[in-house]
Amino acid sequence: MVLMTRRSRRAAAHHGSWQRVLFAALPFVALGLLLMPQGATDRLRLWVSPVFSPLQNRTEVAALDIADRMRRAGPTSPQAEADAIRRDAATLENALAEATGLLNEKEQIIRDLGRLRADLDGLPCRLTPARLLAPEIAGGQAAARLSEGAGKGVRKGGAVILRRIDRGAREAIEHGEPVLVAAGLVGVIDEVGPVTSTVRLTTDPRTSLMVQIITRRDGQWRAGPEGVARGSDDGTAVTVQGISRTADVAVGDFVVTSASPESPLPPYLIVGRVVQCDLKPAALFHALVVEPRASAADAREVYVLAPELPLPPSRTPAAAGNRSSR
Amino acid sequence: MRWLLVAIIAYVLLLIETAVFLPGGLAVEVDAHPAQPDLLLALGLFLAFFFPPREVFIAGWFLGLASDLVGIAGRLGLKALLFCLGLYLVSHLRGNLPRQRAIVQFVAALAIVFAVHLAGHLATAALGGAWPPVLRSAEISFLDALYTAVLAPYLVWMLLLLRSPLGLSASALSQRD
Repeated sequence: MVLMTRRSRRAAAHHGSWQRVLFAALPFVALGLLLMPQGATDRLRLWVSPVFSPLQNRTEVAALDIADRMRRAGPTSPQAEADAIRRDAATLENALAEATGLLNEKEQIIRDLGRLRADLDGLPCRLTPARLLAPEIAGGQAAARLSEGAGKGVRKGGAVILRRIDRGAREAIEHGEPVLVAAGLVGVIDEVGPVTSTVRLTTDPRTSLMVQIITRRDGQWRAGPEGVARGSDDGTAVTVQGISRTADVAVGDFVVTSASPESPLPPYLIVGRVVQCDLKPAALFHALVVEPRASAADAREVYVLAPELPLPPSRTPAAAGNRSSR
Repeated sequence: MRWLLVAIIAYVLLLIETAVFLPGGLAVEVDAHPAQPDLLLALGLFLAFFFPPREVFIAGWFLGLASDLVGIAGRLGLKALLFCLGLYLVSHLRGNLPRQRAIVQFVAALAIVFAVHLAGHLATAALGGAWPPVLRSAEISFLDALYTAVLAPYLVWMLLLLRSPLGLSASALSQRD
């Protein structure tokens, strides 16, 4: 009896001592676990998941259900599985390449929009990104063919003066709105369809723009005379008329859209630079030839500039104020 | 306390929690959150009601660690700390509480699960470098706590049926310390 009491006392003392040790040590162990890297924690959870949640598929919760994929694969040979993985890898690589291309394109659009916004200097307007549609391609050859032929006056070497974009009335595109790239004006909207529109390029003989010459003399920029720009007869350049023979104009001067209230376009959009400046002895006006700064042949992404649409009456700040005061 | 039996009970509860109270199972979806009871913490509450604080602290730590290992988010050791501290606090505060009354078990489970889960959510968000979404965390924690509190009296009743194998003396049951 005495022996048993001693033994039980010893056992109780032993019991109490390990509890004391655990009581002191466990908070530090918890702190140590807390400081473990997240990757190690996740791995540990995956390892112990068959023990702690044997009826739950942990990979399913983590949306990485590799086990399910292997189950579905059935009894296939390692070679077939390797082929399937190779196919998947090729598909993913393709998707990645495509995504990289798209990302670059979007980044370019964002850069262009930023530059255009900065150039427009707070003008209340809306820029709609659009894409110039490729001319028709026939026979798998890398040659563009127009839908019209010699019967409509199309000649070899003739210039394209109309292009089409993939935006239309659905995107609130309207006739007469300017079409830009970061380098300057490409043309104006001519006809608007439901989902596409026609762009009349600045080189089209039917295009008529009010423009102003910006000169640079001895490092000084000056606003020069105003005139009217039209596409040349051959559709390859722009001519400016109405510049007085006394005006100071020279090759290399810039041509921008006019700031005059009569001009239907926003002011100071770059049209091009003067490449030829003729003055005949008896002529009253300069004959200027301007090379467009923005070439539609090189452009793919363009931006349609539209005046900011007025908010509907229910969404104006005044209406909102009335609602809140009510 | 009979540690082995407590471990077996905890494991069974863990299995039930992970296999039955799942979204699509017995988890109750409220406001886009599948509310699940925390059966391990309910077991911890039972231990905190009837066992010495030091044993409760150790048991709470291991129950918390098991809960940590079952979870998929947050750091390991966080629930272990919260469980052991929360249950240790309850075992010290149980004092004159009529612990065998269902309403007391309901309120205590509601309070402890809410406190531990809210602290867990906030600490997980803060340790992950995010701004803790306090209101949403409180809502989620309350829903889990309510579900646990509803089940807690039944669990305590079932565990009290095992009082002899658990080594729970009659004096511990009637004790008002």
